[in-house]
Amino acid sequence: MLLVELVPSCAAVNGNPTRSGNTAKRLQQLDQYYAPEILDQYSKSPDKRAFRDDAINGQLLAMDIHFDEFVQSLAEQGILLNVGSDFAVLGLSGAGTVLPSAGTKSVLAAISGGITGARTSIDKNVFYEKTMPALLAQMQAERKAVLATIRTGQQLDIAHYPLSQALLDLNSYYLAGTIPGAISGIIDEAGSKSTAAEIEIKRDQEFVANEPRASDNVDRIKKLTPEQALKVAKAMEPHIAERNKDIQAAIQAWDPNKSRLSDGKPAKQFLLRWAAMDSRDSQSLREWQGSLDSVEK
Amino acid sequence: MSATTTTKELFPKTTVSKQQVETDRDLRIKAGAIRSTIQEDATNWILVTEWNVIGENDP
Repeated sequence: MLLVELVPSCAAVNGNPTRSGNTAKRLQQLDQYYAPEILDQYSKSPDKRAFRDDAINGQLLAMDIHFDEFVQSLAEQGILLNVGSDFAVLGLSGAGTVLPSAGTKSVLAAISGGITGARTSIDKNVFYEKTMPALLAQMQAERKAVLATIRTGQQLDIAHYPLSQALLDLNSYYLAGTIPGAISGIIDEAGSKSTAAEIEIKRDQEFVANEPRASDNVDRIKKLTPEQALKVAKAMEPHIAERNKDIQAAIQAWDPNKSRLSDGKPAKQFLLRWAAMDSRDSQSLREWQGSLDSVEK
Repeated sequence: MSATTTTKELFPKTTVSKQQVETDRDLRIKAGAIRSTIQEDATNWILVTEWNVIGENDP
């Protein structure tokens, strides 16, 4: 706050102090926490909780360094940080009013429709000045929220917060620091995409006993190409009507626009969760097996 | 926050062990869930899983 009072609002400064040490070398050292075999190392570790926490902290540090560099790169691209009232209003740690480069403007131009709607007559510079700090503030807020989830998880033992769950949360932490992630958060908070469906499903012994077969189907789906996934999605589509109402409700909530029937990527995403969550009676399992067999030939 | 949907699966404690529910929780994560946690009430293990809405939150 003292800084805001001392620096005139029109002053342009670089908001990133020089970082001590060799950042590239530090990131290289942190690569070990992104090793593909990290889950294997975790399962073999004699102290899994310590391993989990070490991996979490290593990945967090690497992501924080990259995020700081991302913010700094905005400044280096010609985006000036105008230390004025916005600095205090938005509560940003490293950015005030931002004037983006042409490159950033083109990115924002592509997404601005979703936020501004029909307000095309506003001055574009003013729009970018206001948008970029808002996006950065959103990133900071969402990163902080995800970090709180991770830190809460670290208070739990590995049975309740395994590394696999931590890695998912770490991915959410990364996404929270991206422009698409921030836009998604802003839009959702505005209430334009407020879906919060909650579906209750009762399970029984047969369902649990057939978990290995469902897991095998998920493994097979993971290996499908997008084209193959699209074929399986289309082959399985008629069977949705045969499922109980809870599964049908989940399917409707997961993919309300039925993008599974037109694009291989969402088709694969959809099949993975449906195969994991689907009824596991013999008829349903035969349908999965038949559909997967037909595209794997 | 992102658009999500949540499934709550009820596993009767009388016939299903917690370990079996943990195996299913791991399957949810393998299948792409945002998060999946095990809760409980007097009679059920409750597997609460959060999913993104396909196509709406893709990075």
